[in-house]
Amino acid sequence: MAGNSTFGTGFNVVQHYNAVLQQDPSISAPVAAVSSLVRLVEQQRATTMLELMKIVPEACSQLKRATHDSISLSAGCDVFLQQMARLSQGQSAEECSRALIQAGSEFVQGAGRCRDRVAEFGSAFVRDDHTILVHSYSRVIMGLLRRAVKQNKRFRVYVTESRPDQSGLKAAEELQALGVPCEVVLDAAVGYIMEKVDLVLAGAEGVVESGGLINKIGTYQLAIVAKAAKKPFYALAESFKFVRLYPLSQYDLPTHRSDLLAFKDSKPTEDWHARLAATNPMLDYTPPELITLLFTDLGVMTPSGVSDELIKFYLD
Amino acid sequence: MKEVASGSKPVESSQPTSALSAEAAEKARQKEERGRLKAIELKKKGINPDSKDAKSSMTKAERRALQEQQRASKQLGAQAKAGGSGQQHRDGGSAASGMRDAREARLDAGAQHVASGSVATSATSAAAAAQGKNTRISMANRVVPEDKRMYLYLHLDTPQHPPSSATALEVVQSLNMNNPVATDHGAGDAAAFVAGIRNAEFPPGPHVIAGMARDDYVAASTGEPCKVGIAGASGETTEALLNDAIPPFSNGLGQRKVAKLSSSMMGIAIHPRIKEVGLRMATMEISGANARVVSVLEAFADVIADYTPPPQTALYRNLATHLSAQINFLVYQRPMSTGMGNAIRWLKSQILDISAGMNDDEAKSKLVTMIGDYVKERITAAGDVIAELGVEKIKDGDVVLTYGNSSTVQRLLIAARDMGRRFRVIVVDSRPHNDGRKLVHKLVAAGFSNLEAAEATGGSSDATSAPADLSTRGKGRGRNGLFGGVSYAPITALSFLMRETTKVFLGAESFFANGAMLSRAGTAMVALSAHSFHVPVIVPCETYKFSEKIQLDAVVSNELGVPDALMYKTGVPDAEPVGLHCNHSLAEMEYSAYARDRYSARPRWNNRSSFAIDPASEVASAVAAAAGGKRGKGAKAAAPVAISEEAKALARLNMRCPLSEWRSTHNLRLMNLTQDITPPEFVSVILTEVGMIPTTSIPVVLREYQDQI
Repeated sequence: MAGNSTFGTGFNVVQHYNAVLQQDPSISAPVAAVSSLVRLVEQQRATTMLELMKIVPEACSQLKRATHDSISLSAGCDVFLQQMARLSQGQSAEECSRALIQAGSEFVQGAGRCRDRVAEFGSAFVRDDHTILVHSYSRVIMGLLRRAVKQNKRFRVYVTESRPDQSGLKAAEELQALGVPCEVVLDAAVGYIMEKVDLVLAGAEGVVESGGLINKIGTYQLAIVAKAAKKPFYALAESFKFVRLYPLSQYDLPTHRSDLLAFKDSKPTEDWHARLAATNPMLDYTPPELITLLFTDLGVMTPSGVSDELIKFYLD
Repeated sequence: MKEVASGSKPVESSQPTSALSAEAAEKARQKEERGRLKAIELKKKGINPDSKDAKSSMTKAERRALQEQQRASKQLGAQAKAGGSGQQHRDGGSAASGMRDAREARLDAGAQHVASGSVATSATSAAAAAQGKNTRISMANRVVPEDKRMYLYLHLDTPQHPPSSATALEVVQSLNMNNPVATDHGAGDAAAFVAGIRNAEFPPGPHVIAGMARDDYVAASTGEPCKVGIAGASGETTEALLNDAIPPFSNGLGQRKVAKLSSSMMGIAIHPRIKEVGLRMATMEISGANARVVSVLEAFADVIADYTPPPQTALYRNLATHLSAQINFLVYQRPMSTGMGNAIRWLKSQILDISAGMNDDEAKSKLVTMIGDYVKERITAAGDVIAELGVEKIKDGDVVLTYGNSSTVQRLLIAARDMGRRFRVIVVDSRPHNDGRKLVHKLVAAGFSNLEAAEATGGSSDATSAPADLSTRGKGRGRNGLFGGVSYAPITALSFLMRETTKVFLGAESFFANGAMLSRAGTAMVALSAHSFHVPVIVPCETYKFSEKIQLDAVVSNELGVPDALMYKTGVPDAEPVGLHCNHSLAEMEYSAYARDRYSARPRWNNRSSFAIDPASEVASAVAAAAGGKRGKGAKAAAPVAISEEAKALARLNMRCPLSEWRSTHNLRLMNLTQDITPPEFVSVILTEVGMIPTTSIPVVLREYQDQI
């Protein structure tokens, strides 16, 4: 990435982040971010707290810029910064960075277990003969369904196609390999199948302070249809995806850009297919009223429980 | 008692300025001493003592006095026009001189105001008794209980501009003209007031004490019995007016909670600053939730700085009781707000934490410092953080609707504008307080209505993003807020305005543990409307206003406003123009072809001409005629023509203000609740200094912050 300083260490945090993600696709963005930040702290040679307090936030903003304000990445960065603020009190730079490296490494190692814990809590909600509607592809949902299969539960899964990247197809392949009966439905067919569904599962890019959800586009309408059909809507998220944001509407998200669906003048021979992908949002916000429960590694909680956890985490 | 005229007040300058009496000199010295002490204490923490209330109260009092004067002279003119006798009803002592200066006229008008508001003075009630039965006069036989003093305020002024204690004092003076009462319009206002009342020798007969707490208090602080109250001519006690007003709610519900003067308060002197703050709160001069807490805490800092424990006793043991007496006085003036309760609880716990070994002076200065820090941290700095958060939530092109006048919202909006956000503000307002006018005034002063500037900066810098962002416009052409501006509308227009609103900002008095919001009456309505239009409701609120209590509806506990505030005042157009010095007559207003101007605070008013059909002066003259006719009876032989004229005028008056006779009409009640409860689900987000939180998270904040509070 051009314009990224390496803080005189020869270490490029963005490069490392991308490398981590390429190495192990199962790792999620916040974890990759934290592990890159840990590496950065290991590499840097700051002698004063002030220096350290400058380097790390700068690296965070580099990461955010490089990934176009990815919600979950910024959640990881926030966790790291909060950890640093907590550890920085009354310590020298060296002590602090040592403590920070340790805490960060623990976090990275523990992150894998988070997903298992979510699956453990959530799989209890899947019962024999259930029909489950899943939106898009999500590693944490896959973990839950895999756990349910291991528990010898028999269930069917509808997977939404999830335009425009059609990640639902990937989910269907994995489910097929697991031996779970599954169908891929058009995003537009969600209303059609909803009455056959027993529960709806959605992953999360981030869980915000209101207890709402930021996730792959289409989640919001899915939740609305589920609410209208009075079906439970469960969201799955590891606690490191809790992010300090409070969107009031779709347009309040940091990912919203003014050029999205903005009625730009079109050329006489517009390639609508290309334009479709270019001008559509990739994430949406689901307000807490539409969410029945959240399965997290801290336990199963109501949306308001998320804001409680966030306040507790960020307030001391 | 000698006159102590303050030279700074122009209207007072006509009074003979005598040399300062020994007592006044002593008082001045004490004041100076106190001020110096305070300044030293405050300088340490970098608080500028000049920004204290003392100065502002003076200037406010002055301004108000001027307004009063204008109004009085208008009234006088109306009276003259109507041909009513110019006879003074205050004919007790002073001989009616041909040449009355402006001040006297004003006082007279003030007294008349009182009289026509059916609070009887000795002169009027005597005249009325001589004249015979009259519905208005029947009220004169009631004794207004002391804790119903708020009635007086209402009769002294319109509810929009409650009088300061200074104005009230002038009326007292006018009513007891032969016993001039000392005034001191500085910070020691209340003290002088108390002293003046105590020292004045009242002639036998009933008196009106306006603006003053009550005789009990005077008695308590001096130890001498001093009965000054509002007594009817007959002197017999009737039931409390307030209970009378709302019988269905008279047993506790909706009742003004009036603290009883406890025996512990006896013998403890109330600090003059507390008196001042108490009175200013009672007159609603200090009415905002934050303003009240700040002024009370500042007053407490003075109390603590001035306090010396009795000999051979420890400060930390006695200070709490001393403060309790001061608090009792404050609560007696106006029920405590949640924020005040929290702040006072905090202060008391700090006093208890003083270690026994600490030197008194050290302990005092420590407490004063802590109070300053509390105000800074929990209110001032918190407000800054909240304003920052709020600015984030305001986007270009937003149409922000707000209700009434909240200091936090005001700050936030102005901060957003300073940050270069381009948005429109709709101020929704309601009777009887019409606080929103103050907000409009502030916003216009901050340049919100300066459309050219907004367009100039907006057109050039944001030419790329603004037109591109059609999606945020959404709400229809010309209505989006890109070009700024302020709109002012009554709450009745709410459902129309909500359609174009993108965000609602509301001020809160308190939040309960269940997430319900306590706020000025009408807020729940606005929140409900926003909810049904799917508009987010954003409430900025400092955490010190959070309460651990739970209140399920607004009737469990409420503050009862004065019923008379619900009447339309004769001679005072309800649609008073916005702004302090705005002198537009209603007739000048014209219909604007532009939708935006039609309900805007800009000088091209929308007001259909029907407004001006019945000019205010006509009604005023009718009142004057009615009043003049009544009073003139004793002196002149009333011609039958005059009676019919009077009857006609009265009838017209009743047509105009059917509520004015509500006291004497059976089973007619007015209810003026001042607060309501907004259910938690109507509030989308609370902006606090600890971040943006949903209403469900209030218990967590209360729990997590318990040790810090």
